[in-house]
Amino acid sequence: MVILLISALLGVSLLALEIFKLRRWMMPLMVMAFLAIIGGTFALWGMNENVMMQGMIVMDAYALRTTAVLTILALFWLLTQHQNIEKTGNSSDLYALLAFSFCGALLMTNFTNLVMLFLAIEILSIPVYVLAASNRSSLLSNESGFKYFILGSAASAILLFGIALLYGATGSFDLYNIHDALMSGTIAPLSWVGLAMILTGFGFKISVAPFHFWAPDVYQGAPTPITGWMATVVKGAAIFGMYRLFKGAFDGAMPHLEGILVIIIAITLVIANGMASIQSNVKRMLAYSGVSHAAFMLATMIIPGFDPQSIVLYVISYGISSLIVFSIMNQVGQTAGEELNNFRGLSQENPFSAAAMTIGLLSMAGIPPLAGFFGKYYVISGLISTHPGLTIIMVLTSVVGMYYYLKVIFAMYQKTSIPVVVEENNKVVLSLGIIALVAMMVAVQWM
Amino acid sequence: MIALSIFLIPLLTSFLLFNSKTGNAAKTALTSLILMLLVAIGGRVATAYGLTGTLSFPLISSIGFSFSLLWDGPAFLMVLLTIIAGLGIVYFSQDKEIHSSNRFYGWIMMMLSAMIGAFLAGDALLFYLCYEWALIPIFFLILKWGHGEHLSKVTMRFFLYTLFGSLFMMLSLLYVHQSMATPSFDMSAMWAAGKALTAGEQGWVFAGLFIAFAVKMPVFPFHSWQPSTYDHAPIQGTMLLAAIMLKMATFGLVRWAIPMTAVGIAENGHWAILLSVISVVYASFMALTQKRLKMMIAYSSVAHVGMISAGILSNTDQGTVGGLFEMFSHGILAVAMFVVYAIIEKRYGHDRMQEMGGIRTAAPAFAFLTFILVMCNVALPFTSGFVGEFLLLQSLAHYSLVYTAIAGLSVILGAAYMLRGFQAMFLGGNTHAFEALSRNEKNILAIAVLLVIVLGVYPHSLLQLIQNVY
Repeated sequence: MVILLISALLGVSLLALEIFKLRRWMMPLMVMAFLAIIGGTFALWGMNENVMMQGMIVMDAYALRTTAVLTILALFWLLTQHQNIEKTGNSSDLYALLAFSFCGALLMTNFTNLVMLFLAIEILSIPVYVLAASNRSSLLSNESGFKYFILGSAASAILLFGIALLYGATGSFDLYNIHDALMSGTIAPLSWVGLAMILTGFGFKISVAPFHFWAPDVYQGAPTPITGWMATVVKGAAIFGMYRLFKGAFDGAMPHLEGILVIIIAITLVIANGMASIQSNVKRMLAYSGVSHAAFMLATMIIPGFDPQSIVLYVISYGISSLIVFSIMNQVGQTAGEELNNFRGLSQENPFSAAAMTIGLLSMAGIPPLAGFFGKYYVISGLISTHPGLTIIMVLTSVVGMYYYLKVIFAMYQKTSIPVVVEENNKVVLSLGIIALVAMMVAVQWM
Repeated sequence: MIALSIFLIPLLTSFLLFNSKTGNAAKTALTSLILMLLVAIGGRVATAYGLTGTLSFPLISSIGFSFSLLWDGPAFLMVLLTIIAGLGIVYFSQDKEIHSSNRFYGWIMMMLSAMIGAFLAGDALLFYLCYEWALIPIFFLILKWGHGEHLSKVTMRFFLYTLFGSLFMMLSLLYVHQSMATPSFDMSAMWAAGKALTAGEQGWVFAGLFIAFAVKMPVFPFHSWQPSTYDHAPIQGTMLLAAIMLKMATFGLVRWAIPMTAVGIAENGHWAILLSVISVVYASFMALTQKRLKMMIAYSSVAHVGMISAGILSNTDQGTVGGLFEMFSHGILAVAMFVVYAIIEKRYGHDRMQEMGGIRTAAPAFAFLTFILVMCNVALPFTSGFVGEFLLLQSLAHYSLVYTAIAGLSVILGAAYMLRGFQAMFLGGNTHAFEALSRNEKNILAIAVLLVIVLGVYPHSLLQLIQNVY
């Protein structure tokens, strides 16, 4: 409860700081709040389930773990991107919106009621619609925000419709009651329609095929720091919410949904990796690669049993690697551009940035011993005995993935006469991220 | 502790080199390699007096992944090869002009460390990690220090091809791992779990492993990355690939594939042996048609490796022992042959064999040393090539006499292309000035020749290390 309160009050106090002209305290305040939340989760680690708000939210082991992961990602995002946010001139609005969206993200991990889920999704999404359009002078940014808003609201509406139908079939919003209703005997057709609509709504939010069309345009148009936020914290929160809903409440229906999920995952992997390999814009390529990572995250849903280790590990390893990549890309984008050609010769003047980006990309590609490998490892090892065919698709598309990540690495290490020179990001923070990527190998067992 | 220090010394050296700005990078690398050699030999002696060289501590206990290093005969043999070949490579290149040499040697040392990790690994996942990690240093070595028009295309193909292969190895290892009651990647547990699978399952597991190894060795038809990569890589990178890196694959067959899936290979693995034998003959014919020395050496390497693979897969004691022996011998030979290539290429500026001639008149000592290496390549008795080849053919004969006869062709074809090449380059009229060999070049060839002859005359020195592999 305290954790949620901190996150909710954070946004309000950021707005207050702006009124009292204390802008320079915003960043320390956010860091302190994030640290307090991480500390809070560790303090509560291993405690019994704590149901709050008349059974609307619960702080259980899953909620604590995922809260810690999201907060670590948000903190790392803040440390790598705060200079860019402060450059925009309206940092207080942006920070406040981010804080509100972060509050929604935390709510996504600990709801026990479908109404709460809908609230969480809206709190998570609405600030991000605004943030995507926050670069008012850029037409692309406006397009991005508009597209995201229209499609996102449509998805929310479908999700809400699904929730309503499920309520009609089971007579309850409560996850435990729905769980019992779905487990006992046959499942009513009305529930199936509801489940399908909820799946569709979540498909939009986490951007898996065939609901992924918004992702490349929105990612490309939004300011890069915001794209980083959407690709990591927002996507992570959506997938965590989906995991709780589908593995916790809908597990009675999961055996029947499994076939659909397998098809969605396979299509997503093929389309996303195929499309990513023909992009010439790195940001767009990363958007498609994010879609393919969403397929891996979705694949954790069909691993038998409720074992969130795989999803938690995947989200944090993908999150840290892509935050490193997005932060370097932002620096390159500001001075040169986001096309592949703009990365030519980055290693000549900025060896550290090139090395950091290389490690981030290799981790996303799943090269051992980096964290991304272990993320993929847990997914594939969970599926190999039940869905061997799907694991082969995963492996083959990983090779395609390696191809487009390598293209960027090649460009950075190419010798050119006019290399791109960028402002180096905070080396200490990036080094911490890189160390985390390497150390994940040992840290896996505590997740 | 011994195993750990041999794994860590090159890794730490590479970090040291990355962070050093001054010259002397080659000297640092050389010192560290000599230290490794001393530790390895000293460690081997100490193990005979009861010191334990192995090490194991759990890293991720929930999936049974532990950092475990072995220190048995085969592992020691391969580590010895890695160190000797590494010494040869660094010693050979220390008087060459190399840009950003600290990073160059840093990558080489990191590569050696990864490969030593793969050779010493007593844990399947650790083996896989090191097997994959070795790709990164060689990738940068080729990309940054390679040459040629299509460098990035070639590097990309090499990287993706080998990655594609090894991902299938991961699937196979995971399949075996999943079949256990209490999952563990420990070597003996993996062996037992592999043996417990049905012959059909073992066949599939073996297929996944063999695809990974076949790409890396390479075996026909997975070899298409190899000639162009050897051509574009810096000579040190080619040596690393041919002398040590492909041994990870053949060693993987001995250490992991055979013990886990022996029944599967016997019942469903004929295709792999057939491919290896085809590879031997195909590569020999390809070598026969090559006009360039480097390509000829590259294809001859494919032929040798196909032989090793066929011999090991026929799964007899001779095959395993002969395979390990031939790996060692071929490692030494590969470094030496590429040194010969580098010496000639430096003086002529190209390596088209037909346009050379008469080197023997200009440099008789060089011609003599090269001739012995060539003889080892065609498996003449009293050279190390003979011992390995003989044991491998003997083992293959237990499996199929027809295959033996076909693979035996490679000895004749080998003699044909090697002697033809030697004749073209060394005999005939002298048409080109030939600068005398430097001290480094002479020393390295002399040591290689010495090793090749000593191992050919007294193979027991190595064979006793690897008598009881399983």
